[in-house]
Amino acid sequence: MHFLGYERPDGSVGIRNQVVIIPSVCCANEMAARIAEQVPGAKPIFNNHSCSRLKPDNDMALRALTGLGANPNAAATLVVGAGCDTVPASEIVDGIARTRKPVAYVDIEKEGSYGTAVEKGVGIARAFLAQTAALERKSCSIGNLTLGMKCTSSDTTSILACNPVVGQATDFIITNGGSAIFTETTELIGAEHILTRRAADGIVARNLCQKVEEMRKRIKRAKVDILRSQPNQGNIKGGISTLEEKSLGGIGKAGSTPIRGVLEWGERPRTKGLFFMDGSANTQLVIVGLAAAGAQVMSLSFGGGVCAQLRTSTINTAGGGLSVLPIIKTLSNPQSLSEVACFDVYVGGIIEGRETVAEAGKRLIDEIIAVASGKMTKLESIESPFKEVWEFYSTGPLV
Amino acid sequence: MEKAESIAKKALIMAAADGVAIALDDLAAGDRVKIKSLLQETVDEFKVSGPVPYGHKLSVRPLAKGSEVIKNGEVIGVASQPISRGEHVHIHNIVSLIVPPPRAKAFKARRES
Repeated sequence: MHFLGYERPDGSVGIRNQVVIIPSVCCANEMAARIAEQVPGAKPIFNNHSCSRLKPDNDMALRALTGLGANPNAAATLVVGAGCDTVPASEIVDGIARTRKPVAYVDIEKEGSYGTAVEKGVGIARAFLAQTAALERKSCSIGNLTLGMKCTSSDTTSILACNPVVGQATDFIITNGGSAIFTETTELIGAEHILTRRAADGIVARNLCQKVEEMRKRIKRAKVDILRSQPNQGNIKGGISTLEEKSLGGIGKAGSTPIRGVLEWGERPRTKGLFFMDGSANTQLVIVGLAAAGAQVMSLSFGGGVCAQLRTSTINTAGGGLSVLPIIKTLSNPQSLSEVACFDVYVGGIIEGRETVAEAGKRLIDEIIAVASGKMTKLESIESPFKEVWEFYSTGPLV
Repeated sequence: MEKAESIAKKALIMAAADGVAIALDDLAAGDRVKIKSLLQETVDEFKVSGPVPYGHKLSVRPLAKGSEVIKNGEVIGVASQPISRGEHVHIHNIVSLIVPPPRAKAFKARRES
Protein backbone atom coordinates (compact mmCIF):
# COMPACT_ATOMS: atom_id res chain seq x y z
CA MET A 1 0.00 0.00 0.00
CA HIS A 2 1.17 3.51 -0.87
CA PHE A 3 0.47 7.19 -0.34
CA LEU A 4 1.80 10.34 -1.97
CA GLY A 5 4.36 12.01 0.28
CA TYR A 6 7.39 14.29 0.33
CA GLU A 7 10.71 12.45 0.54
CA ARG A 8 13.17 14.10 2.95
CA PRO A 9 16.99 13.91 2.75
CA ASP A 10 17.15 11.70 5.89
CA GLY A 11 14.90 9.06 4.30
CA SER A 12 11.77 10.08 6.20
CA VAL A 13 8.57 11.03 4.35
CA GLY A 14 6.40 14.06 5.03
CA ILE A 15 2.65 14.22 4.39
CA ARG A 16 2.76 18.03 4.56
CA ASN A 17 5.39 20.44 3.25
CA GLN A 18 5.55 23.18 5.87
CA VAL A 19 8.04 25.96 6.41
CA VAL A 20 7.95 26.38 10.18
CA ILE A 21 9.17 29.17 12.40
CA ILE A 22 10.11 27.87 15.86
CA PRO A 23 10.75 30.29 18.73
CA SER A 24 13.41 28.76 21.00
CA VAL A 25 11.83 30.47 23.99
CA CYS A 26 8.44 32.06 24.68
CA CYS A 27 10.09 35.53 24.65
CA ALA A 28 10.61 35.04 20.90
CA ASN A 29 6.97 34.13 20.15
CA GLU A 30 6.11 37.69 19.15
CA MET A 31 9.12 37.88 16.86
CA ALA A 32 8.05 34.63 15.17
CA ALA A 33 4.58 36.13 14.66
CA ARG A 34 6.10 39.32 13.22
CA ILE A 35 8.12 37.31 10.69
CA ALA A 36 5.20 35.01 9.81
CA GLU A 37 2.98 38.04 9.21
CA GLN A 38 5.31 39.11 6.41
CA VAL A 39 5.72 35.62 4.95
CA PRO A 40 2.27 34.18 4.21
CA GLY A 41 2.51 30.39 4.19
CA ALA A 42 5.21 30.13 6.87
CA LYS A 43 3.81 28.52 10.05
CA PRO A 44 4.93 29.72 13.47
CA ILE A 45 4.85 27.18 16.33
CA PHE A 46 4.38 29.38 19.41
CA ASN A 47 5.32 27.66 22.66
CA ASN A 48 5.52 28.21 26.40
CA HIS A 49 9.16 27.27 26.99
CA SER A 50 10.71 29.69 29.46
CA CYS A 51 13.94 30.17 31.43
CA SER A 52 12.22 29.17 34.66
CA ARG A 53 12.73 25.49 33.90
CA LEU A 54 15.33 23.21 35.47
CA LYS A 55 17.67 20.89 33.56
CA PRO A 56 15.35 17.86 33.14
CA ASP A 57 12.67 20.15 31.69
CA ASN A 58 15.21 22.01 29.54
CA ASP A 59 16.36 18.69 28.10
CA MET A 60 12.75 17.87 27.27
CA ALA A 61 12.24 21.30 25.68
CA LEU A 62 15.38 20.86 23.56
CA ARG A 63 14.12 17.46 22.42
CA ALA A 64 10.70 18.94 21.58
CA LEU A 65 12.02 22.01 19.75
CA THR A 66 14.45 19.88 17.74
CA GLY A 67 11.85 17.18 17.12
CA LEU A 68 9.29 19.67 15.78
CA GLY A 69 11.77 20.91 13.18
CA ALA A 70 12.98 17.38 12.42
CA ASN A 71 9.39 16.15 11.94
CA PRO A 72 9.05 14.92 8.33
CA ASN A 73 6.13 17.32 7.76
CA ALA A 74 8.51 20.27 8.21
CA ALA A 75 10.26 20.95 4.90
CA ALA A 76 12.43 23.75 6.30
CA THR A 77 12.80 25.42 9.70
CA LEU A 78 13.69 28.88 10.89
CA VAL A 79 14.51 29.01 14.62
CA VAL A 80 14.17 32.41 16.26
CA GLY A 81 15.59 33.26 19.66
CA ALA A 82 16.54 36.05 21.99
CA GLY A 83 20.15 34.98 22.44
CA CYS A 84 20.05 34.58 26.21
CA ASP A 85 17.82 31.45 26.03
CA THR A 86 18.41 28.44 28.31
CA VAL A 87 18.04 26.25 25.22
CA PRO A 88 20.24 28.03 22.65
CA ALA A 89 18.82 28.38 19.13
CA SER A 90 22.15 27.12 17.74
CA GLU A 91 21.74 23.77 19.57
CA ILE A 92 18.23 23.29 18.19
CA VAL A 93 19.50 24.06 14.70
CA ASP A 94 22.35 21.53 15.06
CA GLY A 95 19.79 18.87 16.00
CA ILE A 96 17.49 19.64 13.08
CA ALA A 97 20.44 19.89 10.67
CA ARG A 98 21.08 16.16 11.16
CA THR A 99 18.04 15.58 8.93
CA ARG A 100 19.89 17.55 6.19
CA LYS A 101 16.75 19.66 5.65
CA PRO A 102 17.13 23.45 5.26
CA VAL A 103 17.41 25.09 8.69
CA ALA A 104 18.67 28.45 9.95
CA TYR A 105 18.40 30.68 13.01
CA VAL A 106 18.28 34.32 13.92
CA ASP A 107 18.53 35.79 17.39
CA ILE A 108 18.49 39.35 18.64
CA GLU A 109 21.87 39.12 20.36
CA LYS A 110 23.66 37.93 17.24
CA GLU A 111 21.88 40.31 14.85
CA GLY A 112 22.31 43.29 17.14
CA SER A 113 18.65 44.39 17.27
CA TYR A 114 15.06 43.17 17.12
CA GLY A 115 14.51 44.93 13.79
CA THR A 116 17.54 43.38 12.11
CA ALA A 117 16.62 39.92 13.43
CA VAL A 118 13.08 40.21 12.03
CA GLU A 119 14.34 41.51 8.69
CA LYS A 120 16.83 38.69 8.34
CA GLY A 121 14.23 36.12 9.46
CA VAL A 122 11.77 37.33 6.82
CA GLY A 123 14.43 36.94 4.11
CA ILE A 124 15.29 33.38 5.23
CA ALA A 125 11.64 32.29 5.55
CA ARG A 126 10.84 33.65 2.05
CA ALA A 127 13.82 31.80 0.59
CA PHE A 128 12.75 28.58 2.36
CA LEU A 129 9.21 28.89 0.95
CA ALA A 130 10.53 29.30 -2.61
CA GLN A 131 12.96 26.41 -2.16
CA THR A 132 10.43 23.94 -0.70
CA ALA A 133 7.60 24.87 -3.09
CA ALA A 134 9.52 23.01 -5.81
CA LEU A 135 9.21 19.68 -3.95
CA GLU A 136 6.65 17.23 -5.33
CA ARG A 137 4.70 14.36 -3.83
CA LYS A 138 5.87 10.87 -4.79
CA SER A 139 4.47 7.41 -4.19
CA CYS A 140 5.76 6.15 -0.83
CA SER A 141 5.14 2.99 1.18
CA ILE A 142 2.73 3.02 4.16
CA GLY A 143 5.73 1.71 6.11
CA ASN A 144 7.01 5.30 6.22
CA LEU A 145 4.09 6.45 8.35
CA THR A 146 4.08 6.94 12.10
CA LEU A 147 0.60 7.29 13.58
CA GLY A 148 0.09 9.05 16.91
CA MET A 149 -2.95 8.21 19.02
CA LYS A 150 -5.06 9.87 21.67
CA CYS A 151 -8.63 9.41 22.83
CA THR A 152 -10.65 12.17 24.42
CA SER A 153 -14.14 12.95 25.65
CA SER A 154 -14.35 9.21 26.30
CA ASP A 155 -17.59 7.42 27.10
CA THR A 156 -19.03 3.94 26.67
CA THR A 157 -19.14 4.37 22.91
CA SER A 158 -15.36 5.02 22.80
CA ILE A 159 -14.68 1.59 24.24
CA LEU A 160 -17.09 -0.08 21.81
CA ALA A 161 -16.45 1.91 18.66
CA CYS A 162 -13.68 4.44 18.10
CA ASN A 163 -10.92 2.84 20.16
CA PRO A 164 -11.17 -0.62 18.52
CA VAL A 165 -11.48 1.13 15.12
CA VAL A 166 -8.28 3.08 15.77
CA GLY A 167 -6.75 -0.23 16.90
CA GLN A 168 -7.47 -1.62 13.42
CA ALA A 169 -5.69 1.33 11.79
CA THR A 170 -2.75 0.91 14.19
CA ASP A 171 -2.44 -2.77 13.29
CA PHE A 172 -2.69 -1.95 9.58
CA ILE A 173 0.13 0.60 9.65
CA ILE A 174 2.38 -1.62 11.75
CA THR A 175 1.70 -4.73 9.64
CA ASN A 176 2.73 -2.66 6.60
CA GLY A 177 6.06 -1.80 8.21
CA GLY A 178 5.16 1.50 9.84
CA SER A 179 4.99 2.73 13.43
CA ALA A 180 2.43 3.90 15.93
CA ILE A 181 2.81 5.71 19.25
CA PHE A 182 0.40 5.90 22.16
CA THR A 183 1.02 7.75 25.39
CA GLU A 184 -0.74 9.05 28.54
CA THR A 185 1.12 7.39 31.42
CA THR A 186 -1.56 8.46 33.90
CA GLU A 187 -4.09 6.34 32.02
CA LEU A 188 -2.00 3.22 32.66
CA ILE A 189 -1.91 3.43 36.42
CA GLY A 190 -3.55 0.21 37.56
CA ALA A 191 -3.37 -1.37 34.11
CA GLU A 192 0.29 -2.41 34.23
CA HIS A 193 -0.66 -6.10 34.28
CA ILE A 194 -2.61 -5.75 31.02
CA LEU A 195 0.10 -3.71 29.35
CA THR A 196 3.14 -5.75 30.38
CA ARG A 197 1.60 -8.76 28.67
CA ARG A 198 1.72 -6.71 25.46
CA ALA A 199 5.42 -5.89 25.90
CA ALA A 200 7.78 -7.40 23.31
CA ASP A 201 10.25 -8.45 26.04
CA GLY A 202 11.12 -8.18 29.72
CA ILE A 203 13.05 -4.94 29.31
CA VAL A 204 10.08 -3.19 27.68
CA ALA A 205 7.78 -4.54 30.41
CA ARG A 206 10.14 -3.22 33.12
CA ASN A 207 10.44 0.19 31.45
CA LEU A 208 6.66 0.45 31.18
CA CYS A 209 6.19 -0.32 34.87
CA GLN A 210 8.95 2.12 35.81
CA LYS A 211 7.30 5.00 33.92
CA VAL A 212 3.95 4.26 35.54
CA GLU A 213 5.56 4.09 38.99
CA GLU A 214 7.40 7.41 38.49
CA MET A 215 4.13 9.07 37.46
CA ARG A 216 2.33 7.58 40.45
CA LYS A 217 5.04 8.94 42.77
CA ARG A 218 4.81 12.43 41.24
CA ILE A 219 1.07 12.42 41.76
CA LYS A 220 1.54 11.15 45.33
CA ARG A 221 3.88 14.10 46.05
CA ALA A 222 0.88 16.32 45.25
CA LYS A 223 -0.94 14.40 48.03
CA VAL A 224 -3.40 12.75 45.64
CA ASP A 225 -4.15 9.03 45.73
CA ILE A 226 -4.97 8.49 42.08
CA LEU A 227 -5.93 4.85 42.53
CA ARG A 228 -8.60 5.74 45.05
CA SER A 229 -9.93 8.51 42.79
CA GLN A 230 -10.50 6.19 39.81
CA PRO A 231 -12.89 5.48 38.23
CA ASN A 232 -14.36 8.94 38.91
CA GLN A 233 -18.02 9.75 39.49
CA GLY A 234 -18.63 10.54 35.82
CA ASN A 235 -17.12 7.20 34.78
CA ILE A 236 -19.28 5.33 37.31
CA LYS A 237 -22.39 7.12 36.08
CA GLY A 238 -21.43 6.05 32.56
CA GLY A 239 -21.15 2.42 33.64
CA ILE A 240 -17.42 1.99 34.37
CA SER A 241 -17.12 -0.08 37.56
CA THR A 242 -13.40 -0.56 38.20
CA LEU A 243 -10.03 1.00 37.45
CA GLU A 244 -9.08 -2.03 35.34
CA GLU A 245 -12.17 -1.51 33.21
CA LYS A 246 -11.38 2.16 32.67
CA SER A 247 -7.77 1.47 31.67
CA LEU A 248 -8.83 -1.30 29.33
CA GLY A 249 -10.89 1.10 27.21
CA GLY A 250 -7.97 3.33 26.28
CA ILE A 251 -5.61 0.47 25.47
CA GLY A 252 -7.98 -0.66 22.70
CA LYS A 253 -6.59 1.98 20.35
CA ALA A 254 -3.09 0.45 20.55
CA GLY A 255 -4.26 -2.50 18.44
CA SER A 256 -2.89 -6.00 18.95
CA THR A 257 0.84 -5.91 18.11
CA PRO A 258 3.58 -6.11 20.77
CA ILE A 259 4.92 -2.92 22.34
CA ARG A 260 8.46 -2.58 20.97
CA GLY A 261 9.74 0.12 23.25
CA VAL A 262 9.16 2.90 25.76
CA LEU A 263 9.96 6.46 24.67
CA GLU A 264 10.61 9.59 26.66
CA TRP A 265 8.20 12.45 25.92
CA GLY A 266 9.04 13.72 22.40
CA GLU A 267 11.65 11.00 21.73
CA ARG A 268 11.80 9.53 18.23
CA PRO A 269 11.54 5.72 17.96
CA ARG A 270 14.72 4.10 16.60
CA THR A 271 12.93 1.12 15.05
CA LYS A 272 9.48 0.40 13.60
CA GLY A 273 6.38 -0.94 15.34
CA LEU A 274 4.23 0.02 18.32
CA PHE A 275 5.69 2.34 20.97
CA PHE A 276 4.55 3.79 24.25
CA MET A 277 5.61 7.38 25.02
CA ASP A 278 5.82 8.63 28.61
CA GLY A 279 3.80 11.74 29.41
CA SER A 280 0.67 13.45 30.63
CA ALA A 281 -2.84 12.78 29.31
CA ASN A 282 -3.26 16.49 28.50
CA THR A 283 -4.25 16.68 24.83
CA GLN A 284 -1.94 19.57 23.97
CA LEU A 285 1.09 17.89 25.54
CA VAL A 286 0.23 14.67 23.74
CA ILE A 287 0.04 16.45 20.37
CA VAL A 288 3.41 18.22 20.81
CA GLY A 289 5.06 15.06 22.18
CA LEU A 290 3.85 12.95 19.26
CA ALA A 291 4.91 15.55 16.68
CA ALA A 292 8.36 15.85 18.27
CA ALA A 293 8.62 12.05 18.21
CA GLY A 294 8.18 12.20 14.44
CA ALA A 295 4.54 11.17 14.00
CA GLN A 296 3.26 12.58 10.67
CA VAL A 297 -0.43 11.89 11.31
CA MET A 298 -2.52 11.62 14.44
CA SER A 299 -5.80 10.01 15.37
CA LEU A 300 -7.91 11.82 17.95
CA SER A 301 -10.89 9.65 18.85
CA PHE A 302 -13.94 11.11 20.58
CA GLY A 303 -16.81 9.54 22.45
CA GLY A 304 -19.22 12.45 22.37
CA GLY A 305 -20.48 15.13 24.72
CA VAL A 306 -19.53 18.77 25.09
CA CYS A 307 -15.93 18.30 23.90
CA ALA A 308 -17.30 17.03 20.59
CA GLN A 309 -19.03 20.42 20.19
CA LEU A 310 -15.87 22.49 20.60
CA ARG A 311 -15.32 22.19 16.83
CA THR A 312 -11.62 23.01 16.71
CA SER A 313 -11.07 21.04 19.85
CA THR A 314 -10.66 18.96 22.00
CA ILE A 315 -9.39 21.83 24.03
CA ASN A 316 -6.25 23.01 22.44
CA THR A 317 -6.11 22.46 18.73
CA ALA A 318 -7.70 25.69 17.54
CA GLY A 319 -6.52 27.45 14.43
CA GLY A 320 -5.93 24.29 12.45
CA GLY A 321 -3.91 22.49 15.09
CA LEU A 322 -0.17 21.99 15.05
CA SER A 323 1.02 22.58 11.47
CA VAL A 324 3.39 19.58 11.46
CA LEU A 325 0.82 17.07 12.72
CA PRO A 326 -2.53 16.77 10.89
CA ILE A 327 -5.18 15.33 13.21
CA ILE A 328 -7.91 12.95 12.03
CA LYS A 329 -10.93 13.18 14.33
CA THR A 330 -13.19 10.19 14.87
CA LEU A 331 -16.65 10.42 16.46
CA SER A 332 -18.32 7.47 18.21
CA ASN A 333 -21.49 8.55 19.96
CA PRO A 334 -24.68 8.71 17.82
CA GLN A 335 -26.05 11.23 20.34
CA SER A 336 -23.44 13.73 19.08
CA LEU A 337 -24.44 13.25 15.43
CA SER A 338 -25.28 16.97 15.08
CA GLU A 339 -21.52 17.66 15.20
CA VAL A 340 -20.58 15.03 12.63
CA ALA A 341 -19.63 17.61 9.96
CA CYS A 342 -16.67 18.65 12.14
CA PHE A 343 -15.27 15.11 12.22
CA ASP A 344 -13.28 13.24 9.59
CA VAL A 345 -14.72 9.80 10.34
CA TYR A 346 -17.98 8.81 12.06
CA VAL A 347 -18.03 5.30 13.55
CA GLY A 348 -21.32 5.49 15.47
CA GLY A 349 -22.73 2.98 12.97
CA ILE A 350 -21.14 0.31 15.19
CA ILE A 351 -23.33 1.45 18.08
CA GLU A 352 -26.41 1.72 15.85
CA GLY A 353 -25.84 -1.81 14.51
CA ARG A 354 -25.18 -0.72 10.92
CA GLU A 355 -21.47 -1.39 10.66
CA THR A 356 -18.78 -3.70 12.04
CA VAL A 357 -15.52 -2.58 13.64
CA ALA A 358 -13.64 -4.03 10.64
CA GLU A 359 -15.73 -2.03 8.15
CA ALA A 360 -15.31 1.22 10.08
CA GLY A 361 -11.60 0.42 10.50
CA LYS A 362 -11.26 0.14 6.74
CA ARG A 363 -12.84 3.60 6.33
CA LEU A 364 -10.46 5.11 8.87
CA ILE A 365 -7.47 3.51 7.10
CA ASP A 366 -8.68 4.95 3.77
CA GLU A 367 -9.00 8.38 5.40
CA ILE A 368 -5.48 8.16 6.84
CA ILE A 369 -4.09 7.32 3.38
CA ALA A 370 -6.09 10.18 1.81
CA VAL A 371 -4.87 12.68 4.43
CA ALA A 372 -1.31 11.37 4.05
CA SER A 373 -1.62 12.04 0.31
CA GLY A 374 -2.72 15.64 0.84
CA LYS A 375 -6.44 15.68 1.71
CA MET A 376 -7.04 18.42 4.28
CA THR A 377 -8.39 17.28 7.65
CA LYS A 378 -11.45 19.00 9.13
CA LEU A 379 -9.20 20.78 11.64
CA GLU A 380 -6.87 21.98 8.89
CA SER A 381 -9.89 23.34 6.98
CA ILE A 382 -11.26 25.44 9.83
CA GLU A 383 -9.89 28.97 9.97
CA SER A 384 -9.66 30.41 13.46
CA PRO A 385 -8.60 33.84 14.69
CA PHE A 386 -6.89 32.09 17.59
CA LYS A 387 -3.32 30.82 17.43
CA GLU A 388 -2.32 28.23 19.96
CA VAL A 389 0.69 28.64 22.25
CA TRP A 390 1.88 25.05 22.57
CA GLU A 391 2.80 23.73 25.96
CA PHE A 392 5.88 21.58 26.62
CA TYR A 393 5.80 18.77 29.13
CA SER A 394 7.35 19.52 32.49
CA THR A 395 8.03 17.40 35.54
CA GLY A 396 8.84 20.58 37.46
CA PRO A 397 9.39 22.36 39.68
CA LEU A 398 9.44 25.72 37.89
CA VAL A 399 11.80 28.20 39.53
CA MET B 1 -33.14 8.51 20.34
CA GLU B 2 -36.36 6.46 20.44
CA LYS B 3 -36.32 3.08 18.82
CA ALA B 4 -39.32 2.21 16.65
CA GLU B 5 -39.59 -1.35 17.97
CA SER B 6 -39.29 -1.36 21.72
CA ILE B 7 -38.94 -5.15 21.95
CA ALA B 8 -35.64 -5.29 20.02
CA LYS B 9 -33.37 -3.83 22.67
CA LYS B 10 -29.69 -4.48 22.25
CA ALA B 11 -26.47 -5.07 24.14
CA LEU B 12 -22.99 -5.58 22.70
CA ILE B 13 -20.54 -8.28 23.76
CA MET B 14 -16.94 -7.45 22.87
CA ALA B 15 -15.24 -10.87 23.03
CA ALA B 16 -16.48 -14.45 23.09
CA ALA B 17 -15.00 -15.09 26.55
CA ASP B 18 -16.83 -12.14 28.10
CA GLY B 19 -19.23 -12.59 31.00
CA VAL B 20 -20.79 -9.17 30.45
CA ALA B 21 -22.37 -7.25 27.57
CA ILE B 22 -22.87 -3.47 27.30
CA ALA B 23 -26.43 -2.17 27.05
CA LEU B 24 -27.03 -0.06 23.94
CA ASP B 25 -30.50 0.87 25.16
CA ASP B 26 -31.90 1.71 28.57
CA LEU B 27 -33.17 -1.67 29.79
CA ALA B 28 -36.04 -2.24 32.23
CA ALA B 29 -36.88 -5.39 34.23
CA GLY B 30 -38.44 -7.98 31.92
CA ASP B 31 -37.14 -6.45 28.70
CA ARG B 32 -35.92 -8.92 26.10
CA VAL B 33 -32.39 -8.04 25.02
CA LYS B 34 -30.50 -9.23 21.97
CA ILE B 35 -26.79 -9.75 22.61
CA LYS B 36 -24.86 -8.66 19.51
CA SER B 37 -21.24 -9.42 18.66
CA LEU B 38 -18.88 -6.81 17.16
CA LEU B 39 -19.73 -8.47 13.82
CA GLN B 40 -23.35 -7.43 14.48
CA GLU B 41 -24.51 -11.06 14.81
CA THR B 42 -27.07 -11.93 17.47
CA VAL B 43 -25.30 -14.42 19.74
CA ASP B 44 -27.81 -14.64 22.57
CA GLU B 45 -31.20 -13.35 23.67
CA PHE B 46 -32.75 -13.29 27.15
CA LYS B 47 -34.79 -11.27 29.65
CA VAL B 48 -33.12 -8.76 31.93
CA SER B 49 -33.91 -9.07 35.63
CA GLY B 50 -33.72 -5.38 36.54
CA PRO B 51 -32.97 -1.96 35.10
CA VAL B 52 -29.67 -1.49 33.24
CA PRO B 53 -28.89 2.06 32.06
CA TYR B 54 -27.48 2.74 28.55
CA GLY B 55 -23.74 2.03 28.50
CA HIS B 56 -23.79 -0.12 31.63
CA LYS B 57 -22.98 -3.83 31.83
CA LEU B 58 -25.28 -6.80 32.20
CA SER B 59 -24.33 -10.37 32.93
CA VAL B 60 -24.70 -12.87 30.07
CA ARG B 61 -24.23 -15.88 32.38
CA PRO B 62 -24.46 -16.60 36.10
CA LEU B 63 -21.36 -15.52 38.04
CA ALA B 64 -20.51 -17.07 41.43
CA LYS B 65 -19.27 -14.83 44.24
CA GLY B 66 -15.50 -14.40 43.88
CA SER B 67 -15.40 -15.32 40.19
CA GLU B 68 -13.63 -13.14 37.63
CA VAL B 69 -15.65 -10.70 35.57
CA ILE B 70 -14.34 -10.61 32.00
CA LYS B 71 -14.92 -7.79 29.50
CA ASN B 72 -13.19 -7.54 26.13
CA GLY B 73 -11.20 -10.64 27.08
CA GLU B 74 -9.70 -9.04 30.20
CA VAL B 75 -10.47 -9.38 33.90
CA ILE B 76 -12.06 -6.13 35.09
CA GLY B 77 -12.77 -7.31 38.65
CA VAL B 78 -14.42 -10.06 40.70
CA ALA B 79 -18.04 -10.63 41.72
CA SER B 80 -18.60 -9.50 45.31
CA GLN B 81 -21.88 -11.44 45.41
CA PRO B 82 -23.59 -14.01 43.17
CA ILE B 83 -24.78 -12.44 39.90
CA SER B 84 -27.53 -14.00 37.80
CA ARG B 85 -27.86 -13.96 34.02
CA GLY B 86 -29.47 -10.73 32.85
CA GLU B 87 -28.52 -8.75 35.95
CA HIS B 88 -26.98 -5.27 36.07
CA VAL B 89 -23.22 -5.57 36.76
CA HIS B 90 -21.69 -2.56 38.48
CA ILE B 91 -20.06 -1.30 41.69
CA HIS B 92 -22.78 -2.91 43.82
CA ASN B 93 -21.78 -6.44 42.80
CA ILE B 94 -18.20 -6.34 41.45
CA VAL B 95 -14.94 -5.02 42.91
CA SER B 96 -11.51 -4.17 41.51
CA LEU B 97 -8.66 -6.61 42.07
CA ILE B 98 -6.24 -3.70 42.29
CA VAL B 99 -7.98 -1.13 44.46
CA PRO B 100 -10.91 -1.20 46.83
CA PRO B 101 -14.16 0.23 45.41
CA PRO B 102 -14.13 4.04 45.33
CA ARG B 103 -15.46 5.72 48.44
CA ALA B 104 -17.40 8.96 48.49
CA LYS B 105 -14.59 10.90 50.14
CA ALA B 106 -12.08 9.76 47.54
CA PHE B 107 -13.93 11.88 44.98
CA LYS B 108 -12.11 14.95 46.29
CA ALA B 109 -9.23 13.86 44.10
CA ARG B 110 -10.18 14.77 40.57
CA ARG B 111 -8.23 15.09 37.39
CA GLU B 112 -8.93 16.51 33.98
CA SER B 113 -9.13 13.56 31.69
